[in-house]
Amino acid sequence: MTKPTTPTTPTTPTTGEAALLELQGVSRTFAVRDGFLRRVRSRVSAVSDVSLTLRAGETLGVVGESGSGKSTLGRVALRLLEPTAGVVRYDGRDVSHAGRAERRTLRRDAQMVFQNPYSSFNPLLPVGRSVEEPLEVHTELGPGERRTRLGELTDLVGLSAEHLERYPGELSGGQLQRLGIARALAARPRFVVLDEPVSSLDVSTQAQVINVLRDVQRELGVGYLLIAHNPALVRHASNRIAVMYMGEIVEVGEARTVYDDPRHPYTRALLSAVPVADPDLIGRRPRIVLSGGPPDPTHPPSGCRFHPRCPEALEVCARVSPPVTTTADGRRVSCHLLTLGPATEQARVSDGAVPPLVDRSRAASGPRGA
Amino acid sequence: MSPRATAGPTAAALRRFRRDRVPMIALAFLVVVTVAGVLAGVLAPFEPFAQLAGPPFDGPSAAHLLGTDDLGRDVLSRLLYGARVSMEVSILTVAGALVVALPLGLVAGYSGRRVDQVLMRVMDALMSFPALVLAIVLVAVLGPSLTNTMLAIGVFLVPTFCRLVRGQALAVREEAYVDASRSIGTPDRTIILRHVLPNLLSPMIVQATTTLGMVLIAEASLSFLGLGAQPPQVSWGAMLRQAYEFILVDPSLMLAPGIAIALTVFAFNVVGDGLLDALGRLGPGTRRRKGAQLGLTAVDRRQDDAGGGDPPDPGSLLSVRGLRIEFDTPTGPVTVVQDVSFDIARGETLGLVGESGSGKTVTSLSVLRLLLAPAARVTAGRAFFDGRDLLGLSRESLQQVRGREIGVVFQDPMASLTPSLTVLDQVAEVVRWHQDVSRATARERALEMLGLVGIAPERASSYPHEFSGGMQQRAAIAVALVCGPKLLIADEPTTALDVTVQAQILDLLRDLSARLGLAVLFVTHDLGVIAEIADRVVVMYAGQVVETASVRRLFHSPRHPYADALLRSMPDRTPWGEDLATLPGRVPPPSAFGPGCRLAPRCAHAEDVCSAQPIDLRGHAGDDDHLVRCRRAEDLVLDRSAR
Repeated sequence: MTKPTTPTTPTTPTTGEAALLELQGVSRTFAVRDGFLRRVRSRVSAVSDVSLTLRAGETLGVVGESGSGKSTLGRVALRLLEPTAGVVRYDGRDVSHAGRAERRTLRRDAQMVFQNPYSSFNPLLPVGRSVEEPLEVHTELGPGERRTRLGELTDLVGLSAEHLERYPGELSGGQLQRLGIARALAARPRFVVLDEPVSSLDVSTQAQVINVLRDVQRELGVGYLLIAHNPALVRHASNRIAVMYMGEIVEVGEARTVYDDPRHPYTRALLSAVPVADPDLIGRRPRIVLSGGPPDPTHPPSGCRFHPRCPEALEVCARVSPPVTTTADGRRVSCHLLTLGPATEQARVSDGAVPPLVDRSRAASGPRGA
Repeated sequence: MSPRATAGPTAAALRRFRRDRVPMIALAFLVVVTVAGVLAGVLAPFEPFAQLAGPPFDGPSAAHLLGTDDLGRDVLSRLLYGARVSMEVSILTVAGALVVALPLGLVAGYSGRRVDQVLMRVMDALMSFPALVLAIVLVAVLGPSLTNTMLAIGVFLVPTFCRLVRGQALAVREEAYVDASRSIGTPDRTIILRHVLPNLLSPMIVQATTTLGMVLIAEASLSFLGLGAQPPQVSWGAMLRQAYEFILVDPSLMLAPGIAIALTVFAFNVVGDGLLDALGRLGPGTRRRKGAQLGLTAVDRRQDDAGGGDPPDPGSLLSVRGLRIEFDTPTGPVTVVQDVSFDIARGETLGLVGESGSGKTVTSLSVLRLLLAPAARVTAGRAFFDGRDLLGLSRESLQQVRGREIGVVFQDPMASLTPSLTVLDQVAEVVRWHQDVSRATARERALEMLGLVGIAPERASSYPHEFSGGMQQRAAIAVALVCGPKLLIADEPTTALDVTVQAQILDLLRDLSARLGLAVLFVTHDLGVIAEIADRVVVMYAGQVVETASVRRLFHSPRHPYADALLRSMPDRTPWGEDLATLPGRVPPPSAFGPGCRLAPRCAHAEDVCSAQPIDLRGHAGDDDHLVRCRRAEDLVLDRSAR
């Protein structure tokens, strides 16, 4: 059973352990400027009213398609971007509008791993110089101590110190990404934002990097905010998953429960769209193929932002933003169906071809040729 | 610099420059001119102003190698002293302008916003003056002298350099490595000096070099007008001015300074071009291959081997046999694809899967001879399409096959769309290109095709940029299919798309394949996509086919350790909390391909003999529908329990 809570800022579930990072009702808008005088034409809300917590040693996966605001969320979490509303708390301290000095400590404690390992290293420097940079900036270590630390770091990510002498152009994507992880960990951060850490790597290399990330977490207890578009990867690597659509979190909860039994229609569609490497499942797996792509972010739809593409939309969805509902298994889902759903089947706005919420065996499969 | 620095990209660029003969000759010439100018006092046989060192207007003689001028001064000596002035002015002016422009451009480009706005508007204003005219006015006002000439020219160089630095800084600022440094908390000053400045130096060096020649001309022009070098200084421009006064008496006086200016400026430009070649590209330059026709992959099958002579499968639409492809590299040709054979039946979807470096894209593109860069050449093999060898067709016949009988879709849909035409117009244009039909019929067919790919008539008149990525890919598919080809080559068509959109496009391709009886060669790195769309699969590794089987067979009982490893490394096939299986190491570069099994160094099942000799693609358990290139294919136990 589910119990509705207030539609405004939901309270974060507290489970004994103190949160390392806490986002509360965080929003970030960007001004769209145009013309000779660079006047603000419109505003795009990239992240709106997001509340999340990350505990030490935990991985929180954020999935969403391009434009869902997941990268912006990562940058706000690192305070590389300032939130336009809401609170970013780090270790209980409000750092939403932290000044230069306070941000410096944060830069040491919070690091980032980038999507493209090739472009995240200065091509003109030996990679060791880049891996060393956090040590120069944040520690007082002498050259000898730095070298020792670099040796430890390369060990940690399964490479040898010899790799540090090479230039980015001489290393493979997998090796560079592991050095990217080494760089992020150099100054012993407490949490790391992983922005699509493996999506530009080959399948067999992806696995190397994911295993390294997990080993590092076990050893150092860092918290990860794992941003990715591939739900399969996120499920494998995360403790909890947050699903984003057009800047909003539509569903967040334990990775396994979200993956095995998605409650938000968008989560269902997203997961069902992921190709599964099992030809036997083709045609037997329920598939929800959404029409079109996400709407123009400068003019988000009224009510629930997903309603124009939602196969299960109710009449109310176009008018009212859905409340955040906390389910029995501790998930938070923003969807009217959880409060008004199956009982008001007749109120659906779309035609009868959509799958009903409860009877999953009857879920529509996509139009399939042959 | 550390001793290893010799292997760095800077050193590599220098090496590339040194290998290029013409710019090196030009550079040597410039060095000679500069040294001659510097040592003019020692080298010149006469003082440049020694009047009547010889008879006036005298031609070349033993005493005066280049003759004498109107006052009997030695032309060679004047030329040498002139070189000193010309080079000094060029180098000092450019250096000065750089010193001013670099910090301004860097600050404007890196910090952006207000500073950038103000600085750039000032620079724009400066650039809107006609440079030479204003330089003349400036020098006239300040008084004619070399210093003022340099100042006047420099004033106009600063905005040009500044804009260039700023543009580069803006671009470098967006690079992920600058982002990385920012997220580390590195101070801006360090970021600019360590990451931004070095990475914008190459284009600046190129620009500065060609500007040296430009300044030399500007100085010569001003001196020619009497505004630059003043006696007793000599410059080539001033020499021209003097020669011009006596053009009717002795026109040959123009020759020495004229040729000196022309050659030096030419040399600057050649060196600039050489630097651009050496610095501007990461890899070696792509030169047109001998035997390569415009827009066609070169085919040179002198020594045909490895099954290239095997007959095509009579029932197949496309039969590739013994395909071998070479790339030209600075160290000689390298074989990147070897002995690739496969068949596609009519209406069948064949998945061609592999990691980057496996040769899957190279293979699929060379079938239509679409592979141009890097300089590639088919050195063996056949590609029979409907009985004809595509690799032996003339340019005209191939043009007929492309589009009409075989369509192509790329990862980037804009590769097959023109930004300036509406989607409807370009689909219709393809129809008229291949078929002799009226404009109206073409539009009708285009609309019909667009409808098939899910683009409604009311959206057909949109321009490609008005479409989302998924809609663009639909339009690209319409372009590929409108002439009713029998085969579609789709190279990673969904890789750049979001998963929900990818699902739409996969559904569409499956639907079209069934409806139109279309065969598809689907190239991808994603095994999940393969499982969804392919009937049969060809797995490539390091330029070879390692396994071919029906999609079910491959996913349930792969026989090649590489295919097995790929499947195990997929997160969605790995149980919760378990380590993902990995292959140690990496795909070898083509230059390191060994004679035997190319996976052997990474393979847990490898024995010494595996790397020793070539291994054939053989039917597993005598089944010709399941081919494996592995010595141990029959005895290996690949545990599939971890599913």
